[in-house]
Amino acid sequence: MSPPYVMKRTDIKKLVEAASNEYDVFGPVKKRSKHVFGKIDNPDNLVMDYDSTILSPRKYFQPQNEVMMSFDLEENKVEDTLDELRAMRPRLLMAVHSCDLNGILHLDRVFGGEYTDKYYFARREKTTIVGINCLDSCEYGFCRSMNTHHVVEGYDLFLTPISGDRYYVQVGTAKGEHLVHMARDIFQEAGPEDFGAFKAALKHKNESLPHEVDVEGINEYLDLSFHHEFWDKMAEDCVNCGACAMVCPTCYCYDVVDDLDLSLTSADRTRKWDACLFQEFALVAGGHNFRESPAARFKYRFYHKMRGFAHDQGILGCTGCGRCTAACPSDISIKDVLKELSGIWEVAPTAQGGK
Amino acid sequence: MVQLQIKKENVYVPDLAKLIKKRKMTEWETLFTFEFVEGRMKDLFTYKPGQFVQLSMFGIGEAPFSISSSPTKRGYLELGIRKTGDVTNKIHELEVGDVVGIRGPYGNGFPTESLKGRDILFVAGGIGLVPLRSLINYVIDNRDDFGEVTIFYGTRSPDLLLFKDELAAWEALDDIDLHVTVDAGDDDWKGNVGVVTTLFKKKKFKTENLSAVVCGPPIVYKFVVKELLDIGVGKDQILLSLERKMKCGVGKCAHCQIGHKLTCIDGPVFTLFQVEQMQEAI
Ligand SMILES: Cc1cc2nc3c(=O)[nH]c(=O)nc-3n(C[C@H](O)[C@H](O)[C@H](O)COP(=O)(O)OP(=O)(O)OC[C@H]3O[C@@H](n4cnc5c(N)ncnc54)[C@H](O)[C@@H]3O)c2cc1C
Ligand code: SF4
Ligand code: SF4
Ligand code: FES
Repeated sequence: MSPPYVMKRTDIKKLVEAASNEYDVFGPVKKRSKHVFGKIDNPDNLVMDYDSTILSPRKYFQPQNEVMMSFDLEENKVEDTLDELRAMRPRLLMAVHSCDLNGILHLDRVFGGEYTDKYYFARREKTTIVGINCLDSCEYGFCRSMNTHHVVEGYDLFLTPISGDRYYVQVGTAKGEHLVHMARDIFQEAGPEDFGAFKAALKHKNESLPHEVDVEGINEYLDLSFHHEFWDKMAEDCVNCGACAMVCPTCYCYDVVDDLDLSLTSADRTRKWDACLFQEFALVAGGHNFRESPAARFKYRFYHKMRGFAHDQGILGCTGCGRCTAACPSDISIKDVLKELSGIWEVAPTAQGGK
Repeated sequence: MVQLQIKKENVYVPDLAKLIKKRKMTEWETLFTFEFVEGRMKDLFTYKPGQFVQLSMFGIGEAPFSISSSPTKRGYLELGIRKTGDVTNKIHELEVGDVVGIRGPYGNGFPTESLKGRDILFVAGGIGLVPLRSLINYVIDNRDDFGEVTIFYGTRSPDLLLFKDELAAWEALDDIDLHVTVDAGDDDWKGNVGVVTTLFKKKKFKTENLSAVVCGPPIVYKFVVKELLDIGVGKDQILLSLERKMKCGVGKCAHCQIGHKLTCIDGPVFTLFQVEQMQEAI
């Protein structure tokens, strides 16, 4: 592990200023009563200490709309956008919480593997990420239950607020080290006392983050509950708006459409965020819909995250960021869904009755 | 068989392929024969029966189609395509010489190795014959590797029968037992009448060494599977080729997820045993 540093919290501005010469900088900014990830043109706008953001940083790696290739219909030529993407200006993404760093690691698994998604990784490679440790819980999150309050990779630099209005700075990669060297004079090498302050911060975090939901056994409970009436009850209020999927750091499904240009001589192929909550998601030509009912789609979202993802990737597909709960117009809370689901199987059968 | 995967910089970019033959089979289905524009693709593009490709109609969209030709015939690809929406309607407008995009092959395909030495019963409903035809012709071209071969094929009416010439050719082979039926006949129809499951009355099977390969619209699976279980075929010897909405074909877009499996990567061929573990599969 590279040796850690410490820096003054107020020096973040200097870091952003120095980095701006080389990178486009993005990070949390205030938007009305909430925060969003946005472009930082003025370092004063960067908010390091924020509760959560409306959308997750996924949008920087898998944009809502992404042109994959263009077609020249007269010459029958396919123009890949990958080279353009690889030539883009490097980006610095500031103040990413642990849950979202884990979310990015989830996406790395999905888009990696045998059929690597080069668009995703072009963006990923172009981006330097500065993570930040949350020492206190946020309104809707339950990271501790999902074990995403810890990170060992996924960041280039990782900041932990410590006493004396400073950050303890862990270096995860050579990209992180490069960033340090862009503003070398604001970083001091951490000494034993700083390490003590770091330990105190972790202790505080450990005492303050609640362990609210027990997801042990959730895979099995999902299998056992597939036909349980619980889902119909839970889904009654869901309006299938898909907001939960749009804000989620680990929802990745997408639709692909071709758009002909007006002259009919060229076309773009674009992929767009999709959501399994939408009616057409599993609808095939001929009119058969493999998930016709809204309840089936609501249920599927949980199965995919907590069962399908676990099968494919070996980890649960939820980081506990709480955004879906914050975004839901019907006030459906993922914590409640998980708790009630476990409750079906963890309460003595006599007390619970039913199936 | 060794799978030669084409190593491409970007998996989503299709290769160009030219339409070299177009054969209308019914009012809705046509058999299209494509050849890759780039010569080296003829050697690089190898596939297994039961695999599929993503076909691009540039500016309209992309859709998955099973490869209907057998890998024993090299140099071209046959796709049997039903007119049913934006992409498929446009494909039907193609003329010989026109160029499309093709990427693949994707999916697991049929387990040709483990089927060796076994008796095989093919059950196809409607357009389900398109993917099965690849395996049927593969088996015919490697006839000594397999045991007794029976084909049950059913469509709604005689005018919807696919591959009529080939059905006649299969009929003429004495080591293939072909039974065709239609839900409702017409004045000229002399053959069987009834849904495909009625064919099970026509033949007694020894099931110890029997594998069944089934493809058809969702409704076919339920009834055919019941018949197969009734005659005693093992759940791991009933192979189903499933259809789902697909966008990427390579496990990224999540459209084809069934339960905890991805149809495009883990399938489209599953054993009945697997299917029963996957929620909402059939
Ligand atoms: C593994 C596999 C093999 C197939 N093999 C054949 C075949 O050999 N012959 C044949 O005629 N059809 C086959 N299909 C079905 C074929 O893909 C659809 O008919 C086709 O996608 C319809 O596209 P469309 O644009 O004409 O219809 P639209 O209704 O306009 O569909 C729009 C888009 O939705 C998606 N979509 C819609 N229906 C399906 C579907 N059933 N499966 C997958 N994606 C869908 C496609 O991306 C399509 O472009 C197969 C499907 C799968 C999954
Ligand atoms: S499912 Fe909800 S809590 Fe879990 S990662 Fe997605 S938005 Fe966050
Ligand atoms: S945000 Fe709420 S109402 Fe909208 S699809 Fe998700 S669970 Fe349903
Ligand atoms: S088609 Fe995209 S994941 Fe299977």
